[in-house]
Amino acid sequence: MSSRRIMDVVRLRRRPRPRPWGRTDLALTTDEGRAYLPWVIGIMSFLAALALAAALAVSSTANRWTAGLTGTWTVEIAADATVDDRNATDRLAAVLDVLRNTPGVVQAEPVGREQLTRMIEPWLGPGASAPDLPLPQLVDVRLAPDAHIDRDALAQRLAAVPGVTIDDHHGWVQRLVRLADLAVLFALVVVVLIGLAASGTVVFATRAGLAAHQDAIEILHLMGAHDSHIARQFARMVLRRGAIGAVLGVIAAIAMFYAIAWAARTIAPSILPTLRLGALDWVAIAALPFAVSAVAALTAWQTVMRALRKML
Amino acid sequence: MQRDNDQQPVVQFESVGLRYGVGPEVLRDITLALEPGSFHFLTGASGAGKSSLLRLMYLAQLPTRGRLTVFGRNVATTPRHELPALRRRIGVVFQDFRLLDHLSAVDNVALPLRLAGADEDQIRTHVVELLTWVGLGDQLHSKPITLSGGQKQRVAIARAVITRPRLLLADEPTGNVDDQIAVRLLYLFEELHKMGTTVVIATHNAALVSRFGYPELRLEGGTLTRIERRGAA
Repeated sequence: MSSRRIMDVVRLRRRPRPRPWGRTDLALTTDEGRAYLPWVIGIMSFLAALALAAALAVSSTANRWTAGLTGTWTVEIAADATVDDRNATDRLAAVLDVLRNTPGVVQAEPVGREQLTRMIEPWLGPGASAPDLPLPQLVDVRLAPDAHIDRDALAQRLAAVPGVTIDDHHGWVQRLVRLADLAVLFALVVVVLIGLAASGTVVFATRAGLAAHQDAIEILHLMGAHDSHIARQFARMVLRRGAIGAVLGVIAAIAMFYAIAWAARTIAPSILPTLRLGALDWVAIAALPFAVSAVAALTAWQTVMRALRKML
Repeated sequence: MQRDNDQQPVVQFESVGLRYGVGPEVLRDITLALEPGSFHFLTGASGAGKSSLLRLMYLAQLPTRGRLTVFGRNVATTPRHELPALRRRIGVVFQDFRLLDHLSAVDNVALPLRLAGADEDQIRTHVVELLTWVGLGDQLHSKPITLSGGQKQRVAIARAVITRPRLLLADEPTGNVDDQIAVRLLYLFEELHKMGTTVVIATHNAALVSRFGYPELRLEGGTLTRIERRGAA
């Protein structure tokens, strides 16, 4: 074959074609750092997912409690050892009479002693069912959805019966909402801190990779590779390995969450609330591996681009 | 990007000086214009600055003083993102080959084409043909670590010429091959030159310089002297 023929052969018809996720020119798969990156990302994702799941479960439980308490009041008639059963029944009847004749009250039902006993049994043990244990009388009041009842006026009308108090649950609900908000905020802070730690790990791993492949990167550079071509290879490697770690970490966190929920249900079902997540909560947790992988890849990309800008 | 004029020098040095750090100048007052389609040998003793001069030409280094123009662009003022396009028009044969050890001979030679976005089927065909022509048809999938020095050098040369660059710079390209292969490779460079490529070959091989008879750029003590020659192989 003549030399000219060779030159004909090498004269290629160029067809620029972007290869965003094509082959790698750098031997990144043999880097020492590749082995531990999925582990680090996996552990970070596990912690982040667990924090997020716990916060969302607390928020979800608080919402359920809040919804359950909205539109209900509890009227309490304090226990009084000097009052005999007959008088106690009269006092309860008087309270029910006032409540049932109050506009806006849909239902006013006394809570039976058996139910009261069940409610306090987890704290007091079998002694809660002792017949001589003084227990208050409770009335569960359900209000109409659009009811506007003057709480103070009702309290005045009930004042004829000694030891009566009205609990509209307002303070409890507010504290519960504040607690749920704090839990979510705390989880977000934890997730952000974990994200920063994971990003720092990716930065160091990427810098180590840049140092290990300095010569090959310079060759690619001198052959006309754009910075983005080199950065893309690092980002892709981190994306792949980060995704593996993030998915496994989140799966492990979900398993741990269910284990905790099961333990709560089994060990102390009356005291600990049922940990449950809503559909949107699941979406947020399922999105975590994608977010972690994307942040890791973006961090690697930025690290490489910043480093290459120092080259000619 | 500014289009280069076919008549303007491919590379132009104007009073260029280069020093590394605070050391002495390794290149001093270099003034040189490489016309399009010219062929030069770059000679000089070891440490005379041949590799440094080539580094300036293939845009691995900026001069510490003077003005360097490549394809009509002042490299000191050319935006960084425009340099890859200039570099793709330059083929370089490095003295130490600088092949990527994890890639096969085929993939090493294909690299410049892939960076330029060439079609994968054509890349395969042309790279195989070129490697066969340089005598490595039976080593297509060999990694550099399994190749001899001469074989690596031929892979490096194939990589430098595969895109038919406008400027070909070779640093001791025949240092590790026998005379027969050396002459054959020089013919390849000569063919590129006849097709319009500007060629600069740094060499210690005085016999080759005499045989091909192209002008010689001699570096001594960091300064450049141009020596015209007559006659060719």
